[in-house]
Amino acid sequence: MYSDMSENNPKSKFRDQIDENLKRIYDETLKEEIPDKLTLLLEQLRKKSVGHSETGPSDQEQT
Amino acid sequence: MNAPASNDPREQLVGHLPSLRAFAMSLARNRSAADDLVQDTIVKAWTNIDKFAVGTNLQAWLFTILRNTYYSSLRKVRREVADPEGIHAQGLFVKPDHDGRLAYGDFQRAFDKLSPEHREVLTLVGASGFSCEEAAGMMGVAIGTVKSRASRARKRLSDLMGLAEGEGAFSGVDQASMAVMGRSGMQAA
Repeated sequence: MYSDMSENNPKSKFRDQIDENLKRIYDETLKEEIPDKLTLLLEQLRKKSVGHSETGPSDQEQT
Repeated sequence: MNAPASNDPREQLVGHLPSLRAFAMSLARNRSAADDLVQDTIVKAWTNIDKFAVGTNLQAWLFTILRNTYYSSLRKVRREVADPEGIHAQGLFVKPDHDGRLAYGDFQRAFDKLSPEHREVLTLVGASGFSCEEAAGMMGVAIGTVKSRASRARKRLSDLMGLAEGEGAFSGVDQASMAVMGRSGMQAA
């Protein structure tokens, strides 16, 4: 690894800028609120599996 | 939030939604397509949870499902599009700002024009903090392939931004004169 000695060269600075921007793109979505349809999907899946593993009446809903 | 069985990996899926969305966006570059992709991933993960090896990296497992789902749907589209590497996307030449920083908007446009494979490798190793080894596992390729693909992706990104790597923003300019140039640039403007 030569990252230490290349720390000050333009090539690695350019690389750092690319990585900085890549993180920014990634983080923008990361920070967004999760859409309801995804949390609802997990809830539905959870209810379904509870309905399967337990006999007796369940609150399983057909959608 | 109530977690009935905290050792059930299915209960941890909700915590991975943000990173799954971020990864999906880097591939699909479209919010509704990305959310559909996450939705398919969640259903597959839930129904195949017995195939997850407890104690291994759940996020990596989920990312693998997501990318495989994405590429298998992309394969259908690609039969019709004869330009998988995005060569038609050439012709974008953007100079850096006078202060030498890459403008974020220009960067995003260049990123959009990369092939999904290039966006994927840069996102995995450059943005989401996976090692090349982990990325190789998810992508189903050798570590050397991850490294060379990442390097080609960076090169392509700089080409798209009209910069030759190593002689872009900072060539022959040290930090001090950069600062001076930045100030005079502001005064001139």
